[in-house]
Amino acid sequence: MNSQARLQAAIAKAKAGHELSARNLFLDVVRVEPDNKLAWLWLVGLLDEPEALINACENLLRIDPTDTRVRLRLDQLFAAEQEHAKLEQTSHMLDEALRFFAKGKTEYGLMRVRDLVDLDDEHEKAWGLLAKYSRDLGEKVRAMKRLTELDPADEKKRAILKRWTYYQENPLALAAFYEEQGKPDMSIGVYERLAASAKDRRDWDRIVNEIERLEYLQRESIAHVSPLMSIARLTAGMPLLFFFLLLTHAGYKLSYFSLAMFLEFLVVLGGSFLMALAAVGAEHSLWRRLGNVAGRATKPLRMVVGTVGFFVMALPFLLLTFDAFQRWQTVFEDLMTLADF
Amino acid sequence: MFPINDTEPNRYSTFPVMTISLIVVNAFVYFFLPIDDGFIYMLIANVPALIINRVGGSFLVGLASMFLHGGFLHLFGNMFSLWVFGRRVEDACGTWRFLAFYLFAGFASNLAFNLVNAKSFVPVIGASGAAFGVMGAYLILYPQGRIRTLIFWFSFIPSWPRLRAIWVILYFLVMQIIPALDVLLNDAGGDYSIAYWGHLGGFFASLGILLFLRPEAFARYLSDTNV
Repeated sequence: MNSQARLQAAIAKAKAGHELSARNLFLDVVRVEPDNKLAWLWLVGLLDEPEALINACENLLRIDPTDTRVRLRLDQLFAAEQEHAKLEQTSHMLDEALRFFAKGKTEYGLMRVRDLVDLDDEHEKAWGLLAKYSRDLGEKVRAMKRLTELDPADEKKRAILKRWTYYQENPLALAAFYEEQGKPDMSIGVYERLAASAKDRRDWDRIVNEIERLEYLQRESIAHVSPLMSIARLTAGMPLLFFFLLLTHAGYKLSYFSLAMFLEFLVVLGGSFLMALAAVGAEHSLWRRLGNVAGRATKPLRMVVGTVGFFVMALPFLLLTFDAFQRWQTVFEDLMTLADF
Repeated sequence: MFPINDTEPNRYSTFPVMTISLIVVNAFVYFFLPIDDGFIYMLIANVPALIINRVGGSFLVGLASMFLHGGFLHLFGNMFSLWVFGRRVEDACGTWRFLAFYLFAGFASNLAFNLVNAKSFVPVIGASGAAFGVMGAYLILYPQGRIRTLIFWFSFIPSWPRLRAIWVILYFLVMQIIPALDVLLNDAGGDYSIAYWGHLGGFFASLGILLFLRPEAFARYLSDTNV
């Protein structure tokens, strides 16, 4: 079979859907006639491997350098090839970074992730890792900003970005946050940066005092107590005192407890909670609801909530005092009767 | 044995505002509002039978009792122990939380005394229940604290060594337990003019101090270092 007949047979097979045998016949044709443009054109449609496709396109351009469609296809193939190579490289770097993070070698992991985002600015997972593991708040904010650009619909990320931006603008709140989280070394780091930019001697003294206090805590190996535990503990004191008053008022008999007393107890609990929250001043959803994006308590906000808590808590105490005061008169009437009894 | 001073310094605050205020108020009530008629005590002091029968001012009389004293030595002893042990307990709590704890211990003291002497019409007065609460809190927070204590050997040779708080407070605790058991087992409440069960009630209420500590002091307590 000459090459012309082989070409016809190959075209017939390709049209009949026998792609594999058609491809072999076309390859035979171009082996004998490397300048057969028709055979190369058919091969471009039949080949799968990117390298073979590029080879076919290059041969077509060699035969007819003016063919713009082939040049366009070749450019696409090169771009896809580059993309593929980049994907492979980024995937390898990501695996490496994840391995470092898993082993606790955070700095090495971060180095890989930084290279990765330099290589691929749209790698969401890499930005996510950078936001998660970086100790530099500026870098965290940059990563989160990029993540929100890549996925503008994600409200959660947007909220985190707002929170971090708040901390970036309020380093004292950031230092307090780190301390609450049981990370005094990071808190000291923030204070040290603040000390470098202290406004005056008084400001500098205040910051240095904080550093000394934290260093002292570190030296003493003081256990970290979560703010939630502190809030719960401080909340419990006043209701317990109120319970003792109720108990005394009811003559130490639980059967005399009324629904009103129970409700008063709950109000004391609520007021005491607000006071504890204001006293601890840690991050809490209440502060977020009151308008602070980071969920932190500012000094005026703490004052307001603490004062409200005090009055809420004091109300049942006053009501019970009023009740007890009214009952005081009964002692004059009943004293003699009880003495007889 | 008479504790006269806590030799350790404060950590968080410099001046024990509430301890001093409580001492001043107690002294003011004793010196400027003297009560000569014993019947008035029935009306304004803690009388177990009246409290149990829900007659009179309930907790208000308990509160009033905490600020009433039967004699100068009664006042002096209570206020001195409040000064010795209260200063650093207040330091660990903060001013207002210390007041809340003081009242809590006082009411717990009334509770214990009233339940043990439920039928008694004898009024009980004094800050000793609350003072014992403060003493117990001191033991919890500073068991290794050193207390300058006046001791008269053979009743006449004075010495003032610095003793560990645990020994001083245990001494006072043991001094309460023996008569308290007598009161409970032999129904001998009428034989004693001291409210031993009130003291013990206050002392055991001191466990509540952990709810009133400032966060940093609580963290130190958990870390087993000096609060």
